[in-house]
Amino acid sequence: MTSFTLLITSPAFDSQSSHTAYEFCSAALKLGHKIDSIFFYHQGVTNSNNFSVHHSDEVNLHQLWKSLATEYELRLNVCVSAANRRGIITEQDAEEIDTTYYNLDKPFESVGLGELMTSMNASDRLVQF
Amino acid sequence: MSNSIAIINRSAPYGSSHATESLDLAMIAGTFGQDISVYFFGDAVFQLIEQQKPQTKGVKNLSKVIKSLIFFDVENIYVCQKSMQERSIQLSELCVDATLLSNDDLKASINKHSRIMVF
Repeated sequence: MTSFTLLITSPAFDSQSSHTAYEFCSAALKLGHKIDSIFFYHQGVTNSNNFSVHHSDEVNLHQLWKSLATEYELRLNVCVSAANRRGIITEQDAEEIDTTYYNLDKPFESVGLGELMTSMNASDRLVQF
Repeated sequence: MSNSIAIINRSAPYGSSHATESLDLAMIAGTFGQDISVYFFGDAVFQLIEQQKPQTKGVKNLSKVIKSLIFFDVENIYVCQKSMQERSIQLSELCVDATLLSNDDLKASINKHSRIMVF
């Protein structure tokens, strides 16, 4: 068994890479490997956007991540600065800027980059998508 | 192999957010006491140019950010010699003390790290 931290820096919709990350993650879990943390950074934070709406015949990666996280109790960490810059905010962020709406919610967690260092050091391998 | 991080930059300083968020990550890694090396390949070598004036484009001057890396204990900066030559850039034009490496030496240097990230 190998333990992994996944670093996802590619966008949810505009590139194939995030979906490849999802497939890698599913396959690793099915084979009994451990995923310590999935860290969304740079354009990868768009995976956490709750407001992404897709046609019924399209893949909704956001929902796939959510289901996988629930099934395997995964940590979906999202870099707070990278997310906020791209208009992805938590309920707490929304209160701070005095707005009603927010689009970053559980099982995604808004965290600092330090979380990436911590999980990366605990894992056998880091894989970036 | 102890945990050490290689951050590989391949993107030009402006026109995308790759450089900005790569440098953010390097600073945080330094703050967390990680053993870190930062590499510059291809158009990313333009990030290191001392004389850059991007303020007119409404963005931060990245050479100032790179110069501040030392305060975050990020001291190992390596640059691809071939990329510099291809763009006619001299070591004296760079904003920090960087080590120029040949392709073979870059490969050997990067392989010493257990964590590799690319921006």
